[in-house]
Amino acid sequence: MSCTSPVETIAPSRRSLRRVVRAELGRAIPTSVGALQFLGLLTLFLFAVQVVTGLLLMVYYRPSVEAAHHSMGVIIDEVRLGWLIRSLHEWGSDLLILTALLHLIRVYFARAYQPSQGASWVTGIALLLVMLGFAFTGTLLPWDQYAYWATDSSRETIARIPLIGSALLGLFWGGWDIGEEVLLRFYAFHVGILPWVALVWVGFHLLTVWYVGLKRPVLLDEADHARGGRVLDDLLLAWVMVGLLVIGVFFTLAILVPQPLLPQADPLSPLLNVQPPWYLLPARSVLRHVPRLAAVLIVLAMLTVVLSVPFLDRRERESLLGKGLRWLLGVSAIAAWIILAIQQYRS
Amino acid sequence: MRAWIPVVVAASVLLLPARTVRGEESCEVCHPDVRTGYAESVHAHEFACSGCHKGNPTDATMAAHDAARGYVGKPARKDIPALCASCHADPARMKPYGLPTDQYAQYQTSQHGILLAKGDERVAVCTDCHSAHRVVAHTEPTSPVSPRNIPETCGRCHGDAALMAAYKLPVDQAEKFRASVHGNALFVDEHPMAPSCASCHGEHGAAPPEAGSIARACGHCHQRTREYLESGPHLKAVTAGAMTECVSCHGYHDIARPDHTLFDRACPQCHAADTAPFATGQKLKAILTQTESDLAESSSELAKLSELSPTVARLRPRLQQGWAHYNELLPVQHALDLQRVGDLARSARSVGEEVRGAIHGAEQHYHVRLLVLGLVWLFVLFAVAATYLYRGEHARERAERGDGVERE
Repeated sequence: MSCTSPVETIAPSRRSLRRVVRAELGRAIPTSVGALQFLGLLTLFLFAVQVVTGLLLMVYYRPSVEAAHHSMGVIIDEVRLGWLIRSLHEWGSDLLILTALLHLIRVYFARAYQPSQGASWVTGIALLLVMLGFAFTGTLLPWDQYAYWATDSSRETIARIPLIGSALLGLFWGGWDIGEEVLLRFYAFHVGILPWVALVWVGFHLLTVWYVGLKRPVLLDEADHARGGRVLDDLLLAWVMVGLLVIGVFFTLAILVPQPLLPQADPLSPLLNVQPPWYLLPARSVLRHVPRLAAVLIVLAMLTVVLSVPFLDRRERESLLGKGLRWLLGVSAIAAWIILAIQQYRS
Repeated sequence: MRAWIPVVVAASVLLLPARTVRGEESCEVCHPDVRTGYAESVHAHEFACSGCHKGNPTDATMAAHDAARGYVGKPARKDIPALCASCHADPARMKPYGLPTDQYAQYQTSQHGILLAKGDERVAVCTDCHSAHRVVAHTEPTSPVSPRNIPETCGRCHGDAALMAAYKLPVDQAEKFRASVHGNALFVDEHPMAPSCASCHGEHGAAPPEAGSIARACGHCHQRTREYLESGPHLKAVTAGAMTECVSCHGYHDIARPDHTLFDRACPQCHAADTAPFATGQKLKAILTQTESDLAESSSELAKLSELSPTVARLRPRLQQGWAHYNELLPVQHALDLQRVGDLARSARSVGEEVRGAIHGAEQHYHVRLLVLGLVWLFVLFAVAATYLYRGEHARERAERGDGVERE
C-alpha cells in the first residue's frame, strides 16, 4: 500500500481542476447562446453587490426608531464613501429586480425553461419573490418620511387581504403601529433571514441552470455546437466587457442620482400620494380598482400561471400554434403590466 | 268608473293650500326683477314677499297692496333694523339655523345705530350691507358681507366723499386697506384668517377702536405681540397717553409689512437720535437684520444645492427650526428686551451657520462624487479596452493554432 502525503493528494486534484476549467472555457457554445444570457449572471453580480454593500451598511446602521435615521445621516455624511455604499445599495435593489425581471422575460420568450423541466424556472421565480421581500423590508430601514408612509401604505394593503390579512400583519408588523417592533422585524428579515433563504435558492437555481440547463442543452444538435464560438472568447470576455459598462452605468446612477434621505419619519405629518416602488405599481393598481378578494385571487392566479408555465409546455418541439400562444400571452402580460403601472403612477 | 270621483275631489281639496302658497308669487307679476334676486336669497326657502312687506299676495292686482292686511310697501330706513330684528332677535326662530340673535342689540350700540336712533337716516342699516332682497350667507363668495367683499361693501359709504364730509371722516380707508399687509393677505394670499374691516371694527356693533383698546383690537390676532408690548417700557407711554399703542409705529388701514427700516422711521417720532431708547431700537434693528440675512442666505444656498444633491433636503426641517426662532423674535422684540432678543437671535443664527456648514460640506462632497465617477469610468474604459485587446490577441493565437470554429 503506497503512502501519499496530503500535498501529493491535493496536487492531482489541482491539476484536474485546472483541466476542467480549461476544458470548460474552451468548450464550444451553441449559436443560440448570446448576449441576453448575460442577464442571469448580471442579476447574480448585482445580488453580490447588495450583499457586500449591505454588510458594509450594517456596520454603521442602528435599527431603532431613535437612531435609524441619524445613523443613515452618519453613513451619508461622515463615513468615508458611506454615501456611495448607501446609494449603490439603493440603486442595486432597483437594478437587481429590473435585471431579474428581464431575465425572466428572456427565459420565457426563449423557452429556456424547457430543458430543465421547470426546476430552474420555479427556483428563479422563488428567487424573484425573495428579492421583492428584500426590497420591501429594506424600504422602512432608513426611517425617513418616505420609508414610513410607503410602509404605512403597504400595511393598509396587507390588512385588506381577506382571511390572512391580520395574521400577516401580526407576523410582520407585530401589531398595527409602525414603530420599534416593525423596524426590528423588518431588519431581522432583511439581514438575518432573507439572505440565508436567498443563498440557498441561488445555489439551487445555479445548480439547475448549470447541470440541467446550460451543460446539456437538449435542443441543440452537433451542427449547432460546431457553428458556435468558445466559452472564453465568445461568451465570458464579451460578457466581461458588457458587465464593465453596466458597472459604469450603475455607478453613474448611484453617484449622480442618489436617493434622497427625507426628514425623519413623523407619524403626524402624512406624506401625501406616496407611490410604491415601480415594480409594485401594477399590483397597487389592481388592489385599488378590484374588490379585495378578487384582487387576491387575481394575484394568486397570476402567480400560479407563471409558475406552471414549464409544466404546461412540456413538448420537446413546440408547435407553431403553441409558440404563437406563448408569445401572445407574454406580450399581453407585459403590456398589461406597463399599462397598470402607468395608470397607477399618474393617479 | 264613478268610484274614483271622490278621490279626485279629495285631491282637489288637498291641493288648495298649495294653490294659496303659489298665489304669493303674484308679486312677480309687477316686480319680476325683484323676484329674480329674491329667489337666490336664504329667505326664499322660508317665506315670500309678504313676510316683510305684508299685504295680500294672493291677489294679482294692485289690491294686493292691502293696508288692511298690514301692507308696508318699502319700509322706511329707520324701521329696517327693527323689521329684521322681528325675526333675527327671536331665539326661537333663529335656533333651527344656529344664528345669533344679538345683531340688533349690537347694532344699537354701534355708531350706525346710535346715529339712526337720533334720526340720521343716512347711516348704514341692515339692507345696506346685506342687500334688501338677495340676502345670501356670508360664506357665499358673492355675498356683500363675505370677507373678501366687506372692504368694498364698507367702502360704498365710507368712500363717498360727499356723504363722509358730513361726519368729517376720511374716504380713503378701503383703498389704504387694499394696499396694506392685511389687504394683501386677504386679496392676494387669500388667507382664510386674513382680517377685513369687521375684524377690527366689529360687525353689527361697528365702532372705531379707541385709544386704549387698539392693542386689544390688534391683539385678537397678534396676541403674543400684544403681551410683549404690555410687558415692555412702551406700556408706560401708552398709559400716559403719549403713545397710541400699535398705531404709533405701524399706522392703521395702510399698515405695511413691517421691515427693519421701520426702526428708522418710527423711533425718531418720539426719540431723539442721541438717546438711549433710539440706540436700543437701532440695536434691535441690527440683530433682526443680521439674523434674517443669515437665515435667508442659508435658505438660498440650500435651495441651490438641492437641485444637485437631493440628500441635503433633510436639512430643511433643521433650517425651519432656525426660522422658527426668528419668527419668535418678531413678537418678542416688542418688549424691547435686548437680552432676550439676543438669545433668540443667537439660537436662530447658530442653526443658520450649522446648516450652511452642512451645505458647504455637501458642496465639497458633490465634487468628490464627480471625482469618484471620473475614476470609475476611467477604470471601466481601461478594463474594457484591455479585455477587448486580450480577446483579439487570444483569437489570433487560436487561429494560428488552427483551433478556430466555423462561424456563420
